[in-house]
Amino acid sequence: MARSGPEARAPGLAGIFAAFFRAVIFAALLIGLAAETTLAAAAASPAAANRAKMSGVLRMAGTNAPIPRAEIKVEGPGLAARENSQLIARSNADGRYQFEVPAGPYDIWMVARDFEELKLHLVLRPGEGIQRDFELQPVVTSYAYRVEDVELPQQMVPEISGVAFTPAGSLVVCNRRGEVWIRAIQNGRWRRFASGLYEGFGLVAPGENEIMVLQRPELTRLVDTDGNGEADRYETIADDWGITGNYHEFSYGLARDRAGNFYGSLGMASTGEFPWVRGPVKRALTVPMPDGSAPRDPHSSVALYQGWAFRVDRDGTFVPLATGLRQPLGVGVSPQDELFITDVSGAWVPTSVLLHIEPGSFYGHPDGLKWHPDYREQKLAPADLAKMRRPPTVYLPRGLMGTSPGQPVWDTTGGKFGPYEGQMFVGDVSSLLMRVDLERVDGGYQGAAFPFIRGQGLRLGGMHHAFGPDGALYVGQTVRGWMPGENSEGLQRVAWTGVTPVDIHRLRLTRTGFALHFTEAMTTVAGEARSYRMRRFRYHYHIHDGSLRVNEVDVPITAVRQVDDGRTTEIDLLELQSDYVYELQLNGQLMSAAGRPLLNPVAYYTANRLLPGTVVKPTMLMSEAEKPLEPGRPERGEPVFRLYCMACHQPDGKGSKVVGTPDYTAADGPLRRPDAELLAVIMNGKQQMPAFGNVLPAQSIHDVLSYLRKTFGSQVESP
Amino acid sequence: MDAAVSLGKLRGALESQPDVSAAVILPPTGAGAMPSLADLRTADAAVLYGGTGDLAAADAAILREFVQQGKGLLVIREQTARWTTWPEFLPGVLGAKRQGTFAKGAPMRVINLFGHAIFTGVRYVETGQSMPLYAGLTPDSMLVMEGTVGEATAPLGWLRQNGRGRIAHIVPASTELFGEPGYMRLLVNTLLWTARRPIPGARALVQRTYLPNAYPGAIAITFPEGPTLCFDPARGGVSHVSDGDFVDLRPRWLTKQGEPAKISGEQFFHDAGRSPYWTDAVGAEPNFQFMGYGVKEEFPELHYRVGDREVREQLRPAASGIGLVRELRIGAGRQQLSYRHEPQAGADIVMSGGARATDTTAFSVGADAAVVRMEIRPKRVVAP
Repeated sequence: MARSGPEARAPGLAGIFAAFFRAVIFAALLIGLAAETTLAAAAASPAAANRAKMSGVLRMAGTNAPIPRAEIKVEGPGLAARENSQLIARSNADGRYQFEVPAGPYDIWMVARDFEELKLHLVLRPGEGIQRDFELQPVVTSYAYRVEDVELPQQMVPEISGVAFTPAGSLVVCNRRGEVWIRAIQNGRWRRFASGLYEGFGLVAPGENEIMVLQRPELTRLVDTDGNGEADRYETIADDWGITGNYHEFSYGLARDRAGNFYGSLGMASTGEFPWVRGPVKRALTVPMPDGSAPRDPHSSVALYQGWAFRVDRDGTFVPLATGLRQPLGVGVSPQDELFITDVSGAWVPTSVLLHIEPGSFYGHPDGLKWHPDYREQKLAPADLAKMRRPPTVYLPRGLMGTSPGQPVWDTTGGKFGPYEGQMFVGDVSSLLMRVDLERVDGGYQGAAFPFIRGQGLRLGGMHHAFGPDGALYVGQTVRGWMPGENSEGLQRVAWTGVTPVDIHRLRLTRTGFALHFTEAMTTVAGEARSYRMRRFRYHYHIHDGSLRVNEVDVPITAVRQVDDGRTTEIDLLELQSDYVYELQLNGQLMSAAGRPLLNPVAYYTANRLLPGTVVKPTMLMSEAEKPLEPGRPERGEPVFRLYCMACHQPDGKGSKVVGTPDYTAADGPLRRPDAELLAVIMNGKQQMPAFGNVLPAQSIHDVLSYLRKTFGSQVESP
Repeated sequence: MDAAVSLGKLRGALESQPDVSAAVILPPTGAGAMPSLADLRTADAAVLYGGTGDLAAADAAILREFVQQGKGLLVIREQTARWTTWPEFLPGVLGAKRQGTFAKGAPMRVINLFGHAIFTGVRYVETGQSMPLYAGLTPDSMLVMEGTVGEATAPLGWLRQNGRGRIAHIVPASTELFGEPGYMRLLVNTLLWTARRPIPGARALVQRTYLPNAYPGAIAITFPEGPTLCFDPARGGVSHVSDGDFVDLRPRWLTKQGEPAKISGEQFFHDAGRSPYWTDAVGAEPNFQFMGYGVKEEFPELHYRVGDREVREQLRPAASGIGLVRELRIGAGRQQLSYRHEPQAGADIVMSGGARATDTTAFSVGADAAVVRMEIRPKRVVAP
């Protein structure tokens, strides 16, 4: 769910010289191969000297047809002032794209529906203009699943925000215009069952004449008492939480357990005025920014229980269950009556996650703690929060695994949806449906997430789902207010074609690595080490808006064994460490013994714990960022300054009144402050200066400070 | 010939409405001015459909007089740009400006109908016709129908209070539409609305949303001929009543920040602050628990609990049509229950049942169950 955020800062003004600098690549930020660049003429004006442009055409591989409305996602430290450090450009009808960013290193994704994502890493130099065309490969259409539109009545605004089936099999949907519609199983005809609701976001259908819907202010029971097909009673079941009217505060749901209790969650409010708040109001942040400024991701728990998961018992009693949530978009209850919720990346949530909710637990975002009886008066430090926090069950790494995950649902179709009985499926606001396979390790859930359907005509906005009696997965879609999207709202069904998909059925942790249980016997190539690549990485848990991957490193594979007649491959790794996300990439050419190709070549396993008995040795793998800090070196700091700092602080270090940056050379300027204080400012940001703690390695920050002191501090008395 | 067929169907539909006499302003059959509008003087409402000719000066005077008299005017697909004798008709009477063609003439994909009594019995309006683009609707225009092509939207139907009169503009008008029962129903309903006649089958609309001067989650109840009230379940009472008949929810839907909905008409009753319910003279605010609403005898009924008293409150428009009747069935309890409100400069509050102690205490009832009827009227209305 995209959110509004501050615009990227303008470059510095006169006094900036167009220059050409040698690119320096930082290992901690190097994710893909450096692409070829074409050097173009230098910027025409000083104002543009520290910016770079890139443009070109996206075409379909093999046909040269232009690809319109593709997204070009550009992410890097030069965009630190923007949400997710990211800018999104779009290609026009002719496939042409262009964007302009501050000079620096960037990861660039080219994303278009029904095409394989293309990712590259580029260092854009000041004043540069790159012309580069790209070809995107069409996504391999799954032979195992097809995506179909479900026709909706013309008079229904198709902002589908809830999908369910009655026990008899009638399809029930709600939309964000306050309506509930039913497609009767008997005759396939739609009728409007209810209207006038305040943005229903999730529903359960206990019967043909009774629907439960979670709208913003309450959980409501809709009943048709006179049998005319339309609800005539709207009963308030529970409304025990606060609401502000803020556009971004949603009440998410809805799930029910076998005992008949209902589950939902409450998102935080975004920035804005709150003249009318139902219930108590607490505006002060639980953990304010270190310098007292407003956080860049301004979601906070202004009203009662925002950021909480809750249960409503059958008698209507509201029970707050757990907190630490930010925008807990997807609420699901497993067939074993366990509650799982997805949360969207932002402040304190390094990337989107799937959480197993246990009552009384804290999951990361601290602002909801202000409503907790034990914590409401406490001043908590980030270190305290880290100790309290339950780690995510599964991390959903940003990029291939979407941006805003939706409602978890379980395949209980008895085989009608293929071989994934009992496994979890989660949609996303992007054109993505994910599969999650969990296991219990040392007392807690963890497991693997796989991209299941990408593109193939799947619309954006798929955050509510339900399996139908026909065995298909129905996906409700809406994007209004989060992203532009022509034809991005409605209802689709994902149906199994009957052909078994070749895929990793289950990914299981072992004491020496992983076991890949395939859906079918594979060729012997699946038993070769060269068919796999394993990496691991972590995320920072911090106040900043998301986290880049940190401590990322390849994990050597020491042995591969094919067992179980080719249905299972066991992979041994050089070492196993807990508290990492393991990214497994498979050779895209892998085939089953029956000759069908592998459908999904990527999996992400969140290893919070290791199996009892796993031998854990001190790691022999160290990413660049894990090396001990050395004293700062000005010669390494200079390129950091020129790429990330100079645009605002000026090449001569004198700052700019227009931009609002200080004069480093002044005797009473910032350089008279001690290192610790200045390092904290660079790490955490201050006022309009963005934080670089989640974008630059710590060593780089030390290096740039030493450069500042050496280059600009000659007139400044040492602290 | 197509226009003549359409007009024939329109005439037939209008003639089926005995309660209103409507004059249809015909398009000219050839070049030149439109036919005389002399017949207009005796009509309750007028339908202006199409027309490519200019308006004669005498006819402009008649039409101007007709509009100023406060009679109803339904314009179907206006084509008034050629009027040299009344060039300000479009901006001044219809309240809009023409800005070319919507979506470069692309066929209409989706037409959204917003909650209003004129859509009673109308399931949807669908047409592949390209539409003119109107912009700059005056703030007092109520946009009730909107077309969508991709992410672009355009107003396709709006209503306007013009002094004492009512004006409506319905833009879609393809020949095929005149053969659709739903579309004809829309035209008839709209004409009845302009003529201030009841629309058969129209019901109150109940919409839970974010209203101005109320806690989020307040309930807007709109009667087909007005009024519109705001019931605030968080505060525990009716917070304001307006004489309009439309709540525009588009600010909630179509702005990133989700502004409050807009209520049409003039507010004549306003009550704010704590809950209007009191259980004792000291003023402790009783616990108010909203329990939902439903429909009883075709009118909305709210259900809530005040302290230990269960209340079912049915809401109806006053017989005069410009006023609200609140009938409260109050269950027995341990304490007496009073309802107090702010002094009302714009409304009269007439009670039956309960003891009215002061002009700001609507009623007080004892511990026994009671039925209280409260009528809220704008001061300018003379009761029958």
